[in-house]
Amino acid sequence: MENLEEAVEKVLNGDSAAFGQIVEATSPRLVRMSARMLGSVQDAEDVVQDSYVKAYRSLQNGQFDRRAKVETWLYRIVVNTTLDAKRSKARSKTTASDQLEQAGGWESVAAADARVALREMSAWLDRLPEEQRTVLWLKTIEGLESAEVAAILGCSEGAVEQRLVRARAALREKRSDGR
Amino acid sequence: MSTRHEREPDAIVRESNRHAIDPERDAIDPELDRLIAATRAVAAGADFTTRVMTAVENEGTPMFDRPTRHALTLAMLVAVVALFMAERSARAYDDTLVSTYDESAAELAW
Repeated sequence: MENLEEAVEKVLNGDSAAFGQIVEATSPRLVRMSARMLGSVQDAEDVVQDSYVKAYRSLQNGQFDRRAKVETWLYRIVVNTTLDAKRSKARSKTTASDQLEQAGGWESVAAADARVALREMSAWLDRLPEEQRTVLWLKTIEGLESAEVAAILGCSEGAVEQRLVRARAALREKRSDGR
Repeated sequence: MSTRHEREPDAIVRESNRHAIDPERDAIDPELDRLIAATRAVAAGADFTTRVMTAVENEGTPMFDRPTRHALTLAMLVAVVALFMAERSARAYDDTLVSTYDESAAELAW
């Protein structure tokens, strides 16, 4: 998206409000993506917020070298932060947001359905090793191209395809075991 | 009347390509498709951007923006070089004074 590059330029020139445009344009997709992995919108909001703070800090420190597109760079930060959160969530088992959501923090039936689906999605992905899970998450669920996934994960497109094949094989196996 | 294809041509082509080039998709995807559809409406809270911007501001905005920081760095470099040059010329002046003194002293000794 061309506007994102322009917004980054503005942020680099001292217009911190332009960062709000970046957040506005990218957060719907990033929060949904993170929520699908974490199984919780609240956890995803926390993770994506941390990711934006990291991104802003990187921009201020001149660490964004612009070799990647802004969107790809943001995806990379959110994916890494989400995976870190997933690991620590697995260690602590239940988070405060789980308790809040279980207590009825959501307002509508549709939202409650989505919450259940998010948990199912997260559990569905948990059946795979992290490496395969991440590729399946980004490529099949989020619909990114192999080249984009490779850029986000810092590996080759071949590695992405290979992990995807393994992920599908593992899921088929688990599915047939489950019957 | 506009059709779905007219509204989102890229998305439709991309989606159909994804299905076409992915023959293994059908084996595992009915359940996954259901979950993707069910979570498509998931969204951040209405005030999410405000919340992020507050966090960003609380993080501590640098005292100076980037162009100012560059100008300050350049000014500091110039100041360091100027100090170095001043130090060198002061030394050279001292040396000149000392040698003049030595010469004068030598002349007086004669």
